[in-house]
Amino acid sequence: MVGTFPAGNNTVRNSIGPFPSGDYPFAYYLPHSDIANPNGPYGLNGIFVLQRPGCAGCGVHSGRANSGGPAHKTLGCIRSTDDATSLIKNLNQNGDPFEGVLVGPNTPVGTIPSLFGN
Amino acid sequence: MARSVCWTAIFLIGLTWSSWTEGRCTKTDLAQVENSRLTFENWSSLYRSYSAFRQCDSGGDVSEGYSEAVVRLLSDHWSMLDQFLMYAKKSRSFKAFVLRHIDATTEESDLNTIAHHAAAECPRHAHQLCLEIDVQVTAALKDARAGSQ
Repeated sequence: MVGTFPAGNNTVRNSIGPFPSGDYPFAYYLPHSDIANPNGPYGLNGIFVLQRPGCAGCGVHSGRANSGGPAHKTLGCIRSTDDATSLIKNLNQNGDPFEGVLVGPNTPVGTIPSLFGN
Repeated sequence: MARSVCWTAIFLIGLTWSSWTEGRCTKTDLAQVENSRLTFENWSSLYRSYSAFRQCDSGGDVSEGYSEAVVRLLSDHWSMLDQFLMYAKKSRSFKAFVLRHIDATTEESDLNTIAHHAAAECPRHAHQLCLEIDVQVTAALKDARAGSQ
């Protein structure tokens, strides 16, 4: 275990919906450095795209730190904190590759369902 | 004769492949849209991106980028509304795309700004469009305050 961070699996209505419980392998990383901002749509560290059937580009990112952070809704992504995505990025770049995310059962409103680390 | 049949077959396979891939987000499409800037300085550039990559708007990274782009244009560049009106008249699907992307992934403060623009700064000739924008903003704000799906 290298760290525990809050993460939300909370999506807007009429979207693909939250990640169902399951194992999602890492696909690729996109830095989105042109709009890197703690309060922006992806946060400071871009997005780690996962292999989610039916969604090209669903993954883990941060963002909206000033309006709920991990609880702020997405269009099918998992939202965590800049600390979490920074750790994933650093581990990934320094010999401990990010392999994916295991999503547990979705929990009721207002709770944080996911946990990161390996 | 055999050569002619062969070329016809290749042509038909090409046509079939082209129409099959037209509605799909290919790996090339996805790489292009994901690696392009997600900020759009005007409605023309958003319309160009929509025309080229709408097939990749299936949720996740690309869709959240489009939502942010739509809300930035409406909240920060309301004076460009006539451009949007022009493209909305040209393409009903683009108008639906824009309205759909006024959603709860964006900032509530931006949504409130758009609501203010639509109510207080709407040109008379864009009245119907402003009403539709307002309906979407209201739904997005309601969704933002609602619980998980």
